Amino acid sequence: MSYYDPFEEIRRRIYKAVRDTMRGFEREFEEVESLIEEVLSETREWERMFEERVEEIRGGYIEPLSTIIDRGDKILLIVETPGARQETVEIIVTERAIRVEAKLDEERVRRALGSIAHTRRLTTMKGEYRLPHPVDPKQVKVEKRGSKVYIWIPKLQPT
Amino acid sequence: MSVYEEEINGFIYREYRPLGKPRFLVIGLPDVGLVGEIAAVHMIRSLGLTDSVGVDSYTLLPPVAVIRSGESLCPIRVYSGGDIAVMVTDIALSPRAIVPLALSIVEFARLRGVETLIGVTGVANPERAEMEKPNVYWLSSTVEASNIALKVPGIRRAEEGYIVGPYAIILKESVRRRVNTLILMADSFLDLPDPEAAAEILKVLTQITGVQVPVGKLIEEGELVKLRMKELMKETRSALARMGKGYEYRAPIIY
Repeated sequence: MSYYDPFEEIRRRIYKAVRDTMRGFEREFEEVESLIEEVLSETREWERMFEERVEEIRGGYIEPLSTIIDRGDKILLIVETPGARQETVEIIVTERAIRVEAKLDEERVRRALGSIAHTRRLTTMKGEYRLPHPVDPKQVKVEKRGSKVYIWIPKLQPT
Repeated sequence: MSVYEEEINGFIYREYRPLGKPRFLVIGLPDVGLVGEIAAVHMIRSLGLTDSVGVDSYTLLPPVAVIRSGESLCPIRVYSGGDIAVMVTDIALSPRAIVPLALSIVEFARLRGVETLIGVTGVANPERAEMEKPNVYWLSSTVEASNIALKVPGIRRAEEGYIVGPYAIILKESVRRRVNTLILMADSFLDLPDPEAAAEILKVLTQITGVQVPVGKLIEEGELVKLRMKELMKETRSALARMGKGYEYRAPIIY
């Protein structure tokens, strides 16, 4: 036989209130945790970029921006070389990487970046790019369009 | 010496010179190909707009003061002149700052009685390398904004896909608050500054606003622009990856 127990009812309500509060705390903690994770990952990214920039300033060079586009049987690497003296652009292709190096036109660099102290010592532009597939370095095709260097390289077919 | 200051969504808008009553507020935030940023900076320079409003947040933006002619400026600023105001930023936005900033922009435009908010950006297209002339697409928040875009020949409405980042929030919030907003997007390189794409957008802006923005010098000085924007592009590339930009490269699930 069951009967109404007011103390049981009070106990149930108290447990429910405690559970709800704990769930609320958990949600808050999860949010704080994800925010901390986000901030930490952002900080790590900024650290990495800062190190890269310091390295460039110390070495007196700038790393060109680039983008890699997969074109099926070929890879297209576009390297942006603004401020470089185009006749000095050198491209070295191996099976797994491409290295691009050029001398900077100091006058153009000064015009673009102003007289911020470190820019006065920038002399070179250089970058090395890992390729997502092995390529055939003998088949490389290079085309310059303005400050962009287009490098097409056929992928090596597995034998 | 500010004349007016208010906080909107955690961002302080400090009006140090009168903004006036601009009909159009053009937003050039760092995104794909820095198209918006390049277009906005070019508009400011070629129209000789006046630095009027500084936008800052001590918690959501990096602790940066921009120094120009010995004067300290906010990292995000609004330049104005006549019918046009242009918002531009010197720094890449972290994903944490994007939502509150976008919401604050819509609210600022609404409070200041701006007729049309125009977001300017790029849309990454792998075929961009082979394109002579990038296409321009548009999205709008209201019928009034659509009617403005429909009058411009040669631009197309973006029919499907995703947009990710500040312009997505600006568009959604504008729909919710019935603010006339147009988002203009040009085919662009994802992670290379693209002055040619910015020039195409500027031609469209000239037709929409009636204010002539010459683009010849932008193309001529493209190399200098790319050199100047290189570091911002690197920072933006990293921010794009963290804000889930990858969504833009997949098809919508409902077809």
